[in-house]
Amino acid sequence: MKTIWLVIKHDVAFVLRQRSFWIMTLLMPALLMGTNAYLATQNNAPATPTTPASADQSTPPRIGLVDHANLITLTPDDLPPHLFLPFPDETTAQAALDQGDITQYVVIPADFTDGGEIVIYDRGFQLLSGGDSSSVAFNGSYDWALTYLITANLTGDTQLAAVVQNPTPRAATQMHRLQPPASADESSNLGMAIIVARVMPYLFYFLLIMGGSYMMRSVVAEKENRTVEILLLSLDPTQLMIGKIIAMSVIVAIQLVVWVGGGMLILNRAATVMQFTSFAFPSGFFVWAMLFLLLGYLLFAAIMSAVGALATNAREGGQAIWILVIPLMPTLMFGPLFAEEPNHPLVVALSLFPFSSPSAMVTRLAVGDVPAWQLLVSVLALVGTTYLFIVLAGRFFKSGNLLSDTAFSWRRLASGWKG
Amino acid sequence: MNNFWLVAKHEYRRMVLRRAFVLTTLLIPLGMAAVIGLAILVGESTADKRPLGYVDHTHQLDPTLWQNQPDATVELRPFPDEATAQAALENGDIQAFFVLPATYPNPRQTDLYFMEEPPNGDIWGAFDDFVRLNYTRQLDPALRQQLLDGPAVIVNDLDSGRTFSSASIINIILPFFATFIFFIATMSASGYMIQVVADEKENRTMEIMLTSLSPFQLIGGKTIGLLGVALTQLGIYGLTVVVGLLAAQPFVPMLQTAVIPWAYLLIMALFFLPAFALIAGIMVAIGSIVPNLQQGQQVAGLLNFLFILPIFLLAIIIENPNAPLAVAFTLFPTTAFLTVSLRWGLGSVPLWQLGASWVILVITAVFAVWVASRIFRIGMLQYGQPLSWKTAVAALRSS
Repeated sequence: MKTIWLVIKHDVAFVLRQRSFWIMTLLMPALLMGTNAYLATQNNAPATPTTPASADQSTPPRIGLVDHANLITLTPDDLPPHLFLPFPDETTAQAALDQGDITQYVVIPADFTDGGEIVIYDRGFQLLSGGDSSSVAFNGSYDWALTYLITANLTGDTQLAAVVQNPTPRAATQMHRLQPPASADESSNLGMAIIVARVMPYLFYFLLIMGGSYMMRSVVAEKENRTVEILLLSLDPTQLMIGKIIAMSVIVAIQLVVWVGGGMLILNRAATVMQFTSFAFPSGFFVWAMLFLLLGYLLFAAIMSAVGALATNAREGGQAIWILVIPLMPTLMFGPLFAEEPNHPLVVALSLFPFSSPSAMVTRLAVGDVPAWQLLVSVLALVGTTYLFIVLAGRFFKSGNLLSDTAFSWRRLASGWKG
Repeated sequence: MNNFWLVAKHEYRRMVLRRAFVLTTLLIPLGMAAVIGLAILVGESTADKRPLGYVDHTHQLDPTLWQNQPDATVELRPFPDEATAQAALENGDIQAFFVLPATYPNPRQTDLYFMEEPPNGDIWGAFDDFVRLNYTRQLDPALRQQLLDGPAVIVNDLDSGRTFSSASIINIILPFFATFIFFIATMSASGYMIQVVADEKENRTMEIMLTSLSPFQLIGGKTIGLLGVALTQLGIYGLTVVVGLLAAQPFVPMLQTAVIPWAYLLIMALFFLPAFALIAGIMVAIGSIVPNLQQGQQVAGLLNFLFILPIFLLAIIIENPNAPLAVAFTLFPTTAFLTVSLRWGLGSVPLWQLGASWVILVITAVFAVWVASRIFRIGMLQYGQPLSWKTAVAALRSS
């Protein structure tokens, strides 16, 4: 028991002394969470008006108009006043643009009605300028105005032009929801649930992968510098494995405290910014989350300790991390799907499969109810798989492997499993 | 010079023939294809494919006009009145229905009935197209087509001299793909760089090699060899993207209007070489300083972070590509490559920023290579004892 305690103490102190550990623990998740929260906040911002009926109340831009086709004779009443300022030629329009009197100018060529292209001149143009209130080009807030003006003048009928421009403006559409949501808070909570569903898989991904990778590196380091030969004189391989697994679980717990603390702060901040009701995790969530994290960590640590025992150096062992990364990737990529469609077949499959369930089931639990049978199947599958891999890891964690110089190979791994 | 190419050739062959290299190079495009396929499957399976109903009190809408549309993927179902439409909606036969009152289109007031969620933009857009078809049917066919297509608009940006059209939007995708591909290729090459220096230091072959090679020939040859490895990887990824796009072209109309962005490819080629030299220089310096590969990888992991920072702050760059942060990233040498790639895809980048960024990057890269060669030489001479940062800096000052 004393030797296990010594292993734990040494390994924890070793990792905590590494500067890279603290940088990864503090910097990386802060950036990821910040970016995701920012992104989600932006996604929930109100949409920019794009129809004549819902014209922006803010000051409209001033756009120069050079009409070589003599097309524009009619200005619809519902266009913002003084949106288009006529100029006789490009030179004067350019001068006005340079002086800042206009933000863009539009040139209608003489051959426009025969298939000519309208040219907009701009400075610092951005393609995705949905938020730019001064653009009449595609994706700009006033792109509708240019099309509307042209259509009205081509047809000579502003009402028909309005229909062609937008037959059913959202602002003029009376919405009749026949089945209202269960609670008024549901839609606002969905916004927060999406943030949680984006952040939670990252949190679990880093905790599990870093936990597993520390485990592997810690075993390999001692193999590489041959201290394992001395260590095995005074303790048996099982004690070494148990000591290392507990030590790395302490490291994961430290990271968990830092990340969850930071995550909660960000969530509360996001809830304030978005004027949502404070997001509340379902009751019992933390118990389930800890259980899945513990089982997931034990599973990943067992696999990585086996890999560490078989690899001769850190590079060889690093290749095996991919086995753990791949099952966790779909949860990272489809995070928002967990909040929007918690019973989607992909979501259910990921939350039952033992290699992805530690991250997927916790994400699902965080954002909604999960049927009891699924929770039970998921836990049982994870417990069974973890037990199996710990037993298998014990097989690999033998003096023969720990002292061997033979290179890591999948064939060696497979033959070891067969016993 | 012969030795230089010998090292380059050896390094290239050694890396390209490794099983891990072949696997990574092939698995990444396959993985990307799998992710895109999965995303499409998820999107398809969650999409509501039920018809959209409508009640037309104007008696202007002719259902056959929509049925004759070759590209109509949404079924639009007419109902005589609200009661029958509502019964169909409650029965789950339709996902929603519009009601056009007799006064339509003056005003363009409509009613939309749905259960929980209104129809998505594509479904709503299909109904809009149907109304447009009906209200323009009396017009001259050429004018009608011009109205339905909308005016052809191009944008000339006076700051960068670039021209954009609505078709350019598809070109945004390319820099995103390219950024990730460049990122993977460059980062793996930098990983190999530190590995080759640290490996040969560890197994002492370096000492034997330096009896017949100068440090420049050794490091230069290795860098060129690894540049070849990175370019091979980029070539394979690029080819996969081109084949993928060509295969998807008949099914995705947006892709048919896409043009090859030669200017973007030229800019990226100009930035790639100094960016690669900068990464290689930094990694050689680290490989020379650290006593073993494991420590080297830890330090390199942190420095890699400086190169990939724009990916973590992607949302901010997309939101406002001219924000001070995006400009700072454009000018800062380690983030310049990825930021320029992203910003170029999103719109115009002022020429002065491109020029300044490139000059800063080249100067930093040359400096990094010089520093690396100094540290490498000192690291070789002092092998056996750990090279501290202080010794490395002192060695640089004395040169």
